[in-house]
Amino acid sequence: MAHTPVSATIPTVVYTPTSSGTPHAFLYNEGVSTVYLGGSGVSTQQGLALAPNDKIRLPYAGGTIWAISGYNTTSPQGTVITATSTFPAGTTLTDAAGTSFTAGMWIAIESGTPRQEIAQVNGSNAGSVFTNSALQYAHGTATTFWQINAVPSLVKSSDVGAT
Amino acid sequence: MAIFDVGSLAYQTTTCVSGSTSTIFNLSPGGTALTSPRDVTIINQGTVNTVYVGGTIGTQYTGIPVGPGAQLTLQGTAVTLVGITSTGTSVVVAGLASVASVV
Repeated sequence: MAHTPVSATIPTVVYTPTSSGTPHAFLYNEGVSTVYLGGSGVSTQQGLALAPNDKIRLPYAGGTIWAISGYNTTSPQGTVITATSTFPAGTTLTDAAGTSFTAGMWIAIESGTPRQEIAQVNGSNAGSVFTNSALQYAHGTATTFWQINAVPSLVKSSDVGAT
Repeated sequence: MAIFDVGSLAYQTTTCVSGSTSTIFNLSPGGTALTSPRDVTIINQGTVNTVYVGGTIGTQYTGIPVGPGAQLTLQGTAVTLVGITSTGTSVVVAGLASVASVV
């Protein structure tokens, strides 16, 4: 049995199938906020939403399952001035108030859309915000990004193994 | 867990394809909203292809893999579920998994 903290910033593995027998999974959200289950690229927009105290059962679970939790957006907010390129979209978001964002902040870009992604700020100047890693999606002119406050949760994986 | 009422509005059959997601559990099937639906089982009836299950949108990289013949049960508040294959097609059935559900 494992109790895995789930963050809003980086998908966390909550279940890994065994290499022999029939792997099965029972995942329980024992935290206080919704978690989103899925593959390695899971997001709050794309994952299977599991509310607090809810569970999922997979009598045969052949693949690894990741989870991510939700977040709240908060100031500062930025607006993209020059669209980013297609994948890999680089690490720069142009913004007129770039210095509002400081190193270490986590941001959500195009929150609530299929192109939503979470990134960490590496630094900024008057016209740009730089992220630690390359962005996954192109973000057009006038799209927005916000600092986020994570709402972490906890997933219990029990009855896991091969039968 | 088995699907206990295949005659219910909540019982839904969907062919999942690659390249775009298909809704495999709709909270308003045929335009009629389900009332407080809970406990949903989906079964991948295909024999070849894995279906990747997720929320309102998804890709094979973001969904939970449900192999051919396998099933997934969500015990709790039902949500819209979508599915996608990485290749080919697969038929998925979804429905209520317990009498706790009210349609």
